[in-house]
Amino acid sequence: MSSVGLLVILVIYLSFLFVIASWAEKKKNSKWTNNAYVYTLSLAVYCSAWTYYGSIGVAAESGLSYLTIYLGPIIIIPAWIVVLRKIIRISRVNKISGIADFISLRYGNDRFLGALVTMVCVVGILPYIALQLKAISETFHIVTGTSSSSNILNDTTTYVAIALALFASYYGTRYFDASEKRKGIVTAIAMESLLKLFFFLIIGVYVTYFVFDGFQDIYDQASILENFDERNTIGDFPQAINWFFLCMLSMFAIFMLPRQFHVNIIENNREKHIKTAIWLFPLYLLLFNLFVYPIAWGGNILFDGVNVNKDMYSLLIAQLFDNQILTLLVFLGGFSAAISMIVVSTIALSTMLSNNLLIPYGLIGKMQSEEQIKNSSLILNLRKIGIFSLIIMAYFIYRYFALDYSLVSIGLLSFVVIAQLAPSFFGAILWKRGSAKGAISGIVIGFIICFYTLLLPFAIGIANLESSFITEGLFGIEFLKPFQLFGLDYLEPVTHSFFWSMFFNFFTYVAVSIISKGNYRERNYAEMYVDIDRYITDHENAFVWKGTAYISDIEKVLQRFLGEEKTKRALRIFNLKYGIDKDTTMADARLIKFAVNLLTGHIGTASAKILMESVTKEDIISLPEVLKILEESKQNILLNKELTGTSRELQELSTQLREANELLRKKDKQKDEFLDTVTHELRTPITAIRASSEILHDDEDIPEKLKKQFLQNIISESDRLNRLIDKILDLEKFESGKQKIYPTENDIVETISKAVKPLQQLLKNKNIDFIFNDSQYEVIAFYDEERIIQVITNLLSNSIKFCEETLGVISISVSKKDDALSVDVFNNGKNINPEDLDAIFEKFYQSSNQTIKKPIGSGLGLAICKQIIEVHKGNISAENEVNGVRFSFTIPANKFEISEQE
Amino acid sequence: MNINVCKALDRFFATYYQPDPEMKKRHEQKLILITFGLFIAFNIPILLLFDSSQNLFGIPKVYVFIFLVWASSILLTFYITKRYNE
Repeated sequence: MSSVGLLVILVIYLSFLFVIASWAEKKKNSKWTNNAYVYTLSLAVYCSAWTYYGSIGVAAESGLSYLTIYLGPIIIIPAWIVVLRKIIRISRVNKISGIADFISLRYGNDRFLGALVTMVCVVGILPYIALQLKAISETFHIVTGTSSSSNILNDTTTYVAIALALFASYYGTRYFDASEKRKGIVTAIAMESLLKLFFFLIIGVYVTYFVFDGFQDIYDQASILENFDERNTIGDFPQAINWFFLCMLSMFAIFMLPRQFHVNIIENNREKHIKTAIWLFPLYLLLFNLFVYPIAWGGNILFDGVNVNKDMYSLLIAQLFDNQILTLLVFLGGFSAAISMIVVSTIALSTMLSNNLLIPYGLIGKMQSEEQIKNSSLILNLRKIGIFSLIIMAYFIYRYFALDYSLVSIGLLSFVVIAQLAPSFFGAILWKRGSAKGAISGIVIGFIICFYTLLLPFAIGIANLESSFITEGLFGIEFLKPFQLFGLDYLEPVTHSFFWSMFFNFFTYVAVSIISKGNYRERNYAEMYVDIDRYITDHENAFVWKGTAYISDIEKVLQRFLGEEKTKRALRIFNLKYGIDKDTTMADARLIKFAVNLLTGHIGTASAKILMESVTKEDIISLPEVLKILEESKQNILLNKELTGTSRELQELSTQLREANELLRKKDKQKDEFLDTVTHELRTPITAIRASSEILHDDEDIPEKLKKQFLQNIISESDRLNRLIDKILDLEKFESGKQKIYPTENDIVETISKAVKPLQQLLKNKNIDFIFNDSQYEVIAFYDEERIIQVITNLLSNSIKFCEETLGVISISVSKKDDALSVDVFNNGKNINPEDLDAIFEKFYQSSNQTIKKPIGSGLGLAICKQIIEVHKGNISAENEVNGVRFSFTIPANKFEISEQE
Repeated sequence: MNINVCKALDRFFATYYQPDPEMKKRHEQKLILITFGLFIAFNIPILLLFDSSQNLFGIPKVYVFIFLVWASSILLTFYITKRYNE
């Protein structure tokens, strides 16, 4: 086939991708683009040209070990249901746009760490992109029958690479917010994944059933070839160790390769898509590997004794039988595999380069004073140039370093470099103590070892016999031979490097983290990452921040990056979510986190932090304080769950649902919520007690004063726990009908006076005008005095809590009509939401407008009141008045009626 | 805590606690178990038990073993996610 003809076909193919992408972009929310299958197929970007061509080369040349690249992922994928979901949640609430953001944010939003991760990724992935270009270029030469020219200006594939770079840089930067979903690209990638699998299966079936007569035929002919046994078994024990390390390596890669992180995490629309992916993706990989063995050994049979590049068997076999169409299909499949890898990798890398390196280390100063439109175009251009130059750089690497290596050896090298992120990556989601210092030193040490034992020898050239560095070690010291470091001589170069670098990386990370103390911000994010499920709905509450900041300042910063309209809208939503008055001038921790998130999507975590620091003044908080605030916010979160937890979309959905099942679910729900709250309420004091005692136990050098304070904490929390348990028991007794009352003849006026007495001081302190005529005539009725005092005390203290702050008025009045005694307690506080008038008597009810401060009390008081009154055969209610709220209860005054019940 | 309180708490929880109809944690653990199983099946020493290039259905035995384990893990995962998908 002529070069021009093939180029035309490539252009047609690329335009086809373009059409798909823009179609999907228009149908962003349709079920065609937004489903679990598209998600799963986009994960298959994992299968690059390495899979498409390289696997066959390995299977033919050395054996089974190509399978480890898929077995690692296969092993871990079922556990994605938990692990991946966790990472997706963390990334979603923090608006994370890449693995550098993900790691650096966890370690206290460390700017240097972000830049370091970016550099590691760039160093790791450039050779990997070079591998794709190498595959495209070599297959291009095979299909067109041309040969590669040593002058790159004369080589057609140079221009293919440039065209690809232009294509990718235009195609990949349509979005300004890097954490936004790119539906167009994802759909195109999914399409390509289908195509490459389909074409590979076609050539597989062709080789197995048309060229040969099925598997048995291939086996019969191949098994007489030299080395057949050796290349179709794992081998001895050291080789099994190699196998094990390669599995681990690919297991890390499926999480941490920037393109994989991108499609797995950033482009995930719905968590439930994971459920499909965990079986469909392994199935995809299985299908892709099914015909590797027959093609590889078919090739070995057909090309026995001929010197050809074994990586290219699939193309060569199609050509050998002069099947033009098949040759083209195979080429296009490989091209798809390569190009989707290149596009997604460069998008991910260029985002990291701009967000974690270029902007926070330079451009941020300039951007602070620019207009939004200029900033947006600057960022977009930065990414465009980033993608373009990454591909061009990769092309040079291919031309000057990677020309002679097989596809797989280049790919594995990239895997080992990327694996250096593993300890800090997995530490981030599993271990709260891991610190920035630990992460940085681990990655640096690991990278140095990996550079020494792998990158450097590869750059010099493994086959370069003149280099004494490889054969004799640095300065001729045998101990330092790069492929047999410290005398470890039975591992292959890749696994050898992986083992030593991981070993030192991991131990440095853990040791430094344990030895040094992390700062409060690290600890804050550690809590947020490791316990993400707890903070998922109200993550802004989990951000600990103290200091002074003006909302207007923050608004100005936001406008520079989001534009005025978007900023206003975002702040409106925020105020709505947390019930904050729009005239508030000072920003709280939640707003800071909210603003940081908005900025993060555009310019990355590090720059967002710098911007926020420029307009706010933060006070340093101590570590114990962070923990304390977090504990408090956990309470808030539970309180606000109902009100704020659901997004508007969810709320709409749940109203519809609620209408349908209201009656059915109500009871059940109350039970669940009650249980939730009870366990939470019980756990809060226990946690506080535990934390205090732990500190006392662990740290003997606490100053006396602090120690006292902790002990005081323990005592007061224990009391709280005690009271709570008493109340729960009380309520439980009433509800199960075990509680008896002992009615006697009493004067209600006197009873009320008794109830008021202990509260008098409080009323005075709060300057509340209390109106009750205690010298009126006695009103006799039959009731359990102790219990009724409990009711009145409760209603009174409730009224004190909610009545007008400056000019509070509370009045109690008594009346007796037709053998019914009623008592009214009125306060001039805010009206209760009319819908809630009944609900307030339910267990653990907290009125919905107190989202900011947690009200004092357990939320059981009114529920107990209701029970007491009901046992007295009376009823209790609340109603709104023009200028306040009235609680009233009525009980029969007659002795006969009451005693009848017991 | 004294025994009465414990009993009362027990009763209390028995009244109010009912297993969540959507509780998936248990089923998630089944999936994690698959991960463990695969990790063991695909590594030493188990893998070496099947390490042979003998002919089985026209392919070397070790391939058959790996692909069979692989396929059954897909089936299991598929079954678990469909069956317990509430």
